[in-house]
Amino acid sequence: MNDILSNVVLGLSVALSWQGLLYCAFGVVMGMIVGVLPGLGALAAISILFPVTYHIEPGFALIMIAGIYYGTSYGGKITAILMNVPGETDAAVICLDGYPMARQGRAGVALLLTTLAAFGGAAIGIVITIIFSPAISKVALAFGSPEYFALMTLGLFATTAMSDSAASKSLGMAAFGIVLGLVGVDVDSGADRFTFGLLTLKDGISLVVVAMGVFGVAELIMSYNSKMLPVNSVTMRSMLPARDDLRRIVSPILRGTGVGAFFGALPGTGATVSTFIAYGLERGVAKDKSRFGKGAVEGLTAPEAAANSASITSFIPTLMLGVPGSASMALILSLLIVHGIAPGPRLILDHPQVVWGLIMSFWVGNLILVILNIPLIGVWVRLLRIPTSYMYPMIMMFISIGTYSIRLNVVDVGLVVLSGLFGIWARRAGFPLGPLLLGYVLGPLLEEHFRRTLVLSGGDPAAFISSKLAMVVYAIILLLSVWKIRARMRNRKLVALS
Amino acid sequence: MEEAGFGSRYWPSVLILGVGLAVVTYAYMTLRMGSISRPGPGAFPLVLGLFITATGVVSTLTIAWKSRAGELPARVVQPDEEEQERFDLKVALFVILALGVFALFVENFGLAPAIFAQIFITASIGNKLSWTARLLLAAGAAAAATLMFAVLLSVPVPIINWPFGR
Repeated sequence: MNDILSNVVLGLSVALSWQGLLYCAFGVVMGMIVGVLPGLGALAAISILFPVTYHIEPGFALIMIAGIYYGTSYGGKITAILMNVPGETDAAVICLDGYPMARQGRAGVALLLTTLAAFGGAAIGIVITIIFSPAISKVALAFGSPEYFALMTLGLFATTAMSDSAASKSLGMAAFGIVLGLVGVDVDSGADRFTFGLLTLKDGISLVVVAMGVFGVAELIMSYNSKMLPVNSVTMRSMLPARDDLRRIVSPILRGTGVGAFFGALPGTGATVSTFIAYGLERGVAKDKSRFGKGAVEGLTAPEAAANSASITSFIPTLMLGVPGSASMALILSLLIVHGIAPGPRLILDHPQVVWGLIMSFWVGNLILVILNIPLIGVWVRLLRIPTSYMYPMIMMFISIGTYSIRLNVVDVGLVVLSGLFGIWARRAGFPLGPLLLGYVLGPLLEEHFRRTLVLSGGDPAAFISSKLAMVVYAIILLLSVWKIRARMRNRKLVALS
Repeated sequence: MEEAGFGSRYWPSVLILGVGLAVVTYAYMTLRMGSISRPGPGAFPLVLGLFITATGVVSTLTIAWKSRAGELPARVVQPDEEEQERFDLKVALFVILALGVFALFVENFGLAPAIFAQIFITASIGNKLSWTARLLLAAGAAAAATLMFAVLLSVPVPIINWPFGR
């Protein structure tokens, strides 16, 4: 207990210094702006601001970049709700129930509830990080490649079970996403894979480009002619949630936070995976599943709480083990390395002020974000009143500059067009896009653990189910699949009857 | 939505099957497999391809079996499909043209002209705005983009460039 207290005090002395406050505020405001701008995500913003951090003390640079990272997730949900365009891949699930709420004229309520969920998730995530940090890292340390392989497979199957499309279509899309993630030079052997001799494919296809294409460009084209939304009915009064809404969101926030905190702390999974699983869980426990996808507040708040608690706890493996859970975390890791700080179990012993300063700055950042999101919530709703003729060219501008700024390569702009056309085709053909992105993120990690499992066991395929945890996870996958097939059959019968 | 006949009932499964076979063929033909205790760059793609192929086979067989048993409805209906979203070829072509013009202009003429041209094209979709409004929007966007990206975020991109010069 004394340990915790002295760590908190040490962290606060860094986070509440004027520099700590300044860099934290700058980071979260940047994160909000970038999150609100469709197409431009945390990855692009972190990369763009990366050179700036060379001139700042590493502790403060970390606070600022972390602020961009979790600030984006507050901002990313805004466009997801108002325009069905997720600012970040974490926010893709928010579209499912957030956008229908906006169409019902409840955009203000959706924004308020997600802010509450985000803060709740983050706050519990911070407390968990402070208290359980050593224990969680110890548990995660005990996992080997077979366990990671099983958990990631579970992530993919959970998305499949969650989606309304046929299991074959979602599994096909997840696998296709993995293939997209494999494009480029194989780090292990140096062999070119799926590059077809094209030089630009050697670096791989950027996730941001794919996400911007299948969501941003596709949405732009598909909804350009849609009628104006009835936004005039959104008044300050209608932003107030009903008592029923508040009652409904308490348990989803707690469940979502739990899912987020767990998957955030696991290396390889993270905020995006946890949002899908939290959504699937809420759908699973709900009595009336038909409300989901039509503006269920449970489906809105659980993933948001999960994303925000995961974005906090995902710092645990990144900082304690040196294993980044996502591309953004990989950038944050490289920030430390640039400053000559080696991440890993010794980091918290050698540089306690960096680690605890960062963790306490999460409080500062999240409080600023709530202030930005609740008094200014009306400003975001007003965005909808801008006619599409003005709005869409602006979205277009951010998509193109955002795409181009990742690698300063015009080929990526071409790829965004191709992904956009693919996204339109997939929508019309009933192939879900969520599993595609998830497969893309998990693909390289799945392969790494696939290889490591075989190498370490000397080529024994039984190694994949060698531990109890892995067996439990595969049992869950099996149950999920059976449940999914039965649910599909019941749906088919209903359709056939009507 | 078209009436679903034999072809449209089967094609998604056959497509998955085709992609699976393509991945298997590519992995097998061009990548080194390695051994089971030392998997090479082709091992994981091969397993993945086999998984996709299996998914395609199972779903094709399921459909065949069910339609023979008469368990499938003649047409799979999406009950609450939004008719609001419609694919408009003209909008798509304008959007692609605008992105293409941006890609062509940004390195050759600079960021400001690229954004100006792109926004002008996008704003012209559907003739909803007057010429003055389009020009003002394009100019405003070019100025805003320059300020935000080139100045504030210091993205290393030329603001205005002499045509085709480096």
